[in-house]
Amino acid sequence: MNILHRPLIPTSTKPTRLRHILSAIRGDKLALFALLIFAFYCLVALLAPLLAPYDSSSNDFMDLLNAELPPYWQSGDSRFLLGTDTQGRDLLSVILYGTRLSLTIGVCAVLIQLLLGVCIGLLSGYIGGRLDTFLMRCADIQLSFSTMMVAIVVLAVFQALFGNAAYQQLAMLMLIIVLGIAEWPIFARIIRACVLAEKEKEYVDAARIMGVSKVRIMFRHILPNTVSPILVILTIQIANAIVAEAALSFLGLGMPPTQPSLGALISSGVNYLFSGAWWIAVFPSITLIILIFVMNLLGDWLRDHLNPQTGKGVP
Amino acid sequence: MSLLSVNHLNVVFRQRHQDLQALFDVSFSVSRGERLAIVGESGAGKSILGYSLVNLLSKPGVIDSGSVKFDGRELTTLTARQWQEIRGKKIAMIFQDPMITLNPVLSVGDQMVEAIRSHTRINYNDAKKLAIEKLAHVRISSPAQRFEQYPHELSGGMRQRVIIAIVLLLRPEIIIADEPTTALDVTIQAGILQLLKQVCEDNGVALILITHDFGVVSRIAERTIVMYAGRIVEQGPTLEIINDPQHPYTQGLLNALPQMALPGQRLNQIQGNMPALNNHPSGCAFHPRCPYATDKCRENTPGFVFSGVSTVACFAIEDMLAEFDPEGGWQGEVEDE
Amino acid sequence: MSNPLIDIRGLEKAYRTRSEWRLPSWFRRLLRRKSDTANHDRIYALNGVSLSIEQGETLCVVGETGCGKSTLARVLMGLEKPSSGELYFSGSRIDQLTDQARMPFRKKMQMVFQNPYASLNPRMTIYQILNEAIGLHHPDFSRQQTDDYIEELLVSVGLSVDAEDRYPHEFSGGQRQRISIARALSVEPELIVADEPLSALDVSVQAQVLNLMMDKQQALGLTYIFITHDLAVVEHFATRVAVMYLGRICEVASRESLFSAPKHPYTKALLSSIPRLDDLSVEPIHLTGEVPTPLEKPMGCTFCGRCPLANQRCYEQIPVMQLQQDGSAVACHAVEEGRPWK
Repeated sequence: MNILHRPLIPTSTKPTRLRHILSAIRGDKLALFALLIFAFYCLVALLAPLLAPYDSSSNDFMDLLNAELPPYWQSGDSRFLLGTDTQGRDLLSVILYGTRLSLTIGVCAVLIQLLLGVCIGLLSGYIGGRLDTFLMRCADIQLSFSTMMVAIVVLAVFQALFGNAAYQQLAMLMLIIVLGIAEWPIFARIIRACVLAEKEKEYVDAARIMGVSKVRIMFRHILPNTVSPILVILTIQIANAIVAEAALSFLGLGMPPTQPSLGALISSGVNYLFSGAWWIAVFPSITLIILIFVMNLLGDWLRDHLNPQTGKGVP
Repeated sequence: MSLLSVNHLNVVFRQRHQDLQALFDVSFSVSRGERLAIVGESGAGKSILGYSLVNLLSKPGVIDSGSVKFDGRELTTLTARQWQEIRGKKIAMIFQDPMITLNPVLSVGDQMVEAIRSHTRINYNDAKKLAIEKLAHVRISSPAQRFEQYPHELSGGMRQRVIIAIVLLLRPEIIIADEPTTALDVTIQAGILQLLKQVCEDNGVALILITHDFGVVSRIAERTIVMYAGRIVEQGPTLEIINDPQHPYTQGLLNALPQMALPGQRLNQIQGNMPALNNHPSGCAFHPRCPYATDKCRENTPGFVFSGVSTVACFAIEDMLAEFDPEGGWQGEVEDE
Repeated sequence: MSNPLIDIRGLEKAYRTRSEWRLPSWFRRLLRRKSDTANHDRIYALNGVSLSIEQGETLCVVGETGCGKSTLARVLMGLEKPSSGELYFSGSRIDQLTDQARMPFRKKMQMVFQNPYASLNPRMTIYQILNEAIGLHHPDFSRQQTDDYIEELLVSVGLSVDAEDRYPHEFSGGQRQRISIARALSVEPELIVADEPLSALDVSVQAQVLNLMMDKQQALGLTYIFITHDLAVVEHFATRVAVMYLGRICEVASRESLFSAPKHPYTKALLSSIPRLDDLSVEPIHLTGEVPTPLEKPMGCTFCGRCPLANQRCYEQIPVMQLQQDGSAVACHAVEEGRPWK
């Protein structure tokens, strides 16, 4: 008897979906290209300490003597491929570390959004009634404050209350939490809408008749059927969170200059843009733009392919 | 002289990796004022046939070869512009879901007037008068009020009546009705069927009724075509097919109806399922489910033979007839015409 | 005499329709203190249904769209709470149970749904679907026992054993309906409520599923409540038939007496409208009008608007079930008075 086929804890149903997506993406050159670039970014972010020519924590990383050196093909200085920034750091290394930071903040913030959104969306959609009304009004209120506004106010207040030193230490955590909490309603709403559609289906009734508990119906039966739209928003929300973080850093409310994310790098480079040191702002910007573009491409492609209405979705 | 004649029609769905053939060598004809039913289960290709007659096949589907002649005019080569003169005006279509045809944001009356005025020069009031007349003709109560209503305010049966009224406005010569009563309740269905039959008789319109329900067929059609897996397997007069089905599939289908077995007894089921498009069996498509299947059926595709007043595509019947008449009385493979 | 398996007494169910601009409920309650508008935003799906089902019989509930037959099934299975009325299963009341207290009854009554494409969770394999039911109701089964039981179940509904590791979308409609039946049978129920289990299937597949259901009834002594609009199936399958119209039962009769001598005008019209292959001469009785939406609680007989025999009394007085000579029960003033059929 083949025991392998029957795990006690049911394996995730992902393989079929994943296989479906992968086989479909192979047929679409643009999507494949986007996926490859995104994978490249993730790899770079993960391996930044190994790939970067200079270690960001070492002492000789920052040397003002090397400040504002132009890229290799202009200066001929083979130590700094993309030149250096105003503090004399190797721009390539800084961009690698910045990408790592930006992606981490984006992904973690969206994970918080996802966690809140899934729980609230499932409860709201499945239990319904007054709880639904209450939670959805909370979501409306949350959404009526723009993310940037909330983030600016919270971060500024934090900075004022605890001082710059504490802020520099906790900046990343604060950014993740603020961005995570500010946009959970986007997930909650989509999941609620999916749950409302799914819970009318007969398999939910069948499970209720069997006596399956509410929690199990929500997480085991309904949630797996809402993964497709979640996946789509996930990609787009990560892109949004990275952009939001970059914007906050640009405004001086994000990552401190000692630990620059892509946004902070651009911010510090902009001042030198017209004084000849264009590379400090331009290279991080290109990195950021490509990342966001690729993520949006992927999100759009997923939307097209997982949308049950276009009939291309997983059956 | 037949009004619509279809010859060796093949419809193919072009896929990236392979072509899936949905219709195989379909030939039949409809004469003026005749009511023809096309019967089959889901996947038999009956709706695809209906759509290909009016050039409404959805994207990957194309007519691969064969001809469709309407009143002597070849339809498969028409341009989109030429189709506009034919579709609706000469050949009308009624769908299962009336909301495919009805525009939800326009009132019933506006849609009818629009339909009239797009084809004839007539002022609004005359068109309205004509429309209300037609609404009364399809036995809609208080037509003047219904004229002002929107489709969502009407019930399913009423919507289907409105569709019939709209279709009649343009005086088509043939109506293709794709499962027009499937979504309706039996008491409403009876009324719609009777109406369809009557308007066809009154106006001399030919009707092609596409359905899965032999009960519906028996009510309305003079001639019946039975389809299986993209092929016509049997055609003949409706009464003949219902009372004396020849093809094993037709027999199985009719025998499977609950009224064919004694109450409480097991029904005579056909084993298995209709093959999928990408899994089409060799030879006669019905052979995996057929109780009379031989090696011949597995390898070759049967042609049509006359059996009584019906034509049947089945080797078992062919062999039986050949045996029956020692001189080989069946006159070779007979094409439809 | 023993209790009937299921006893339904005066069951009513009203749904609240949602208005488009829904005020928060506390605000609506504030407004509603003076004028009670509750009656206007409801749909009356069941208006006093009384019915009893004996052990081992097949009761077919027939009616058109919107007559409340599916609501009846849902209330019976505890998916909806009735607005009023009582439900008994072998003498014990089951309509007001909590989820916990209902567990023993879930094992005894199961349901097969209409749409085989929606009634199986698309993200679970057949093994997982069946295992969930078995895990809840046979918690003492070992892994090996569960595996064997699932194989046995699949074979017993005519599927191969290798079906268990596949997902529902890999099966055809008829096969999925078999899986649904296997799931219902997995808890060894006494009663199966089948809500239009055949209507999404092709004719030849319908016969397969219907045969399976009949085999199971014989083998396991099941009781069926079979909800359908297809009278041909009813005639074949039922032992007793209840005809519903707009939330009320208008006729309950044994199959023989219903099909040989229908009494209620609605039953007569319904029977005459099924296209019959064996007798093409039957002319359908055409009913005027369409089934109305049950927005108002009907005053008199629900059928009076379309009934060719209706008179003033039908509009004012609700007809009650009356036992006829041949054992059928009919709720109709015209039958009671013996009004002649035109």
